[in-house]
Amino acid sequence: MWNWFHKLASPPHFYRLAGIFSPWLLWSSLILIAIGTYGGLVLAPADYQQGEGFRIIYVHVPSSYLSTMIYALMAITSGIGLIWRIKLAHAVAASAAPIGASFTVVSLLTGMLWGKPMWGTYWEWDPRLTSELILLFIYFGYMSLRASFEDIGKADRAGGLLAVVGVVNLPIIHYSVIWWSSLHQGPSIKKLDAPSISGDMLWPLLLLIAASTLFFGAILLYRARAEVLDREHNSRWVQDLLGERPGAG
Amino acid sequence: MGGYAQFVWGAFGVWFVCMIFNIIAARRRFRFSVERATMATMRQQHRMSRKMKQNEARK
Repeated sequence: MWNWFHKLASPPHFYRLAGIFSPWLLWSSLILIAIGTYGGLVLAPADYQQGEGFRIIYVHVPSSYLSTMIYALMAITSGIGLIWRIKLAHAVAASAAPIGASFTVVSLLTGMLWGKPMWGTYWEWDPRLTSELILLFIYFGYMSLRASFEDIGKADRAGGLLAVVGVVNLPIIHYSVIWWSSLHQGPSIKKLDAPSISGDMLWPLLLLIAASTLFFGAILLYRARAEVLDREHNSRWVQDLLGERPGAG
Repeated sequence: MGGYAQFVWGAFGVWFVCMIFNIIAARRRFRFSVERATMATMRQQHRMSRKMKQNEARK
């Protein structure tokens, strides 16, 4: 187990593996997203209360899920980087941040597009919306903090600390609809054995959540490869790789 | 879309724009890093060949 972990943490090994897996993840996610979108827009029946407007959940839920899941991954990898001083873990955290921020923006925008017809307003300072907005600011803060350091080691440490501290916002986002009186609806698929959503509506949602996770995996691997190259461009293995195939990587 | 078309299509539009943005941004970022690393490799090779020439000249 430790051998495998150490081998994976070696930049050349990770770079090679990521190069193999990323196209497969990307294409499989795009196919699943196409099927899930068709299921959500065409096959799923309209909701008896929200009508056709409910279809927004097929993009809102996966993006909200990604926004928090990516942050959790960022905090875990930053923690690993800080504790065991594994540079690759910091590289993964740094690569995940812009993807997480982009899906947080989508989560907020699609939530606003759902809120206008259902609540009569695009924005309300509701606990769930506010904590999600704070998550976006934490992502921006993390990226700005990293960018403010020229020394990559200092950027890793400062960014890693912020990512670990910021994880306190995740339970607040998750439980905000339970702890406080909220406009936002409660969880519909909290328990897979008894979800409060019909199976016809549920399968495209689950498929889109799985597909967007694969999509995130693909983009993360692309970005992490770039981050590894940036950090290791003076290393022998990068020079050997690029010396043999200039421009290809 | 039962009167919700602008909201539903708007939400799906935002979602797809985000995905396309992520693909393009990741590819551009990777290409930029490869170019930077290639330049560093070329500089290193140039430095090494210059050193070798200097050593030969000394001999």
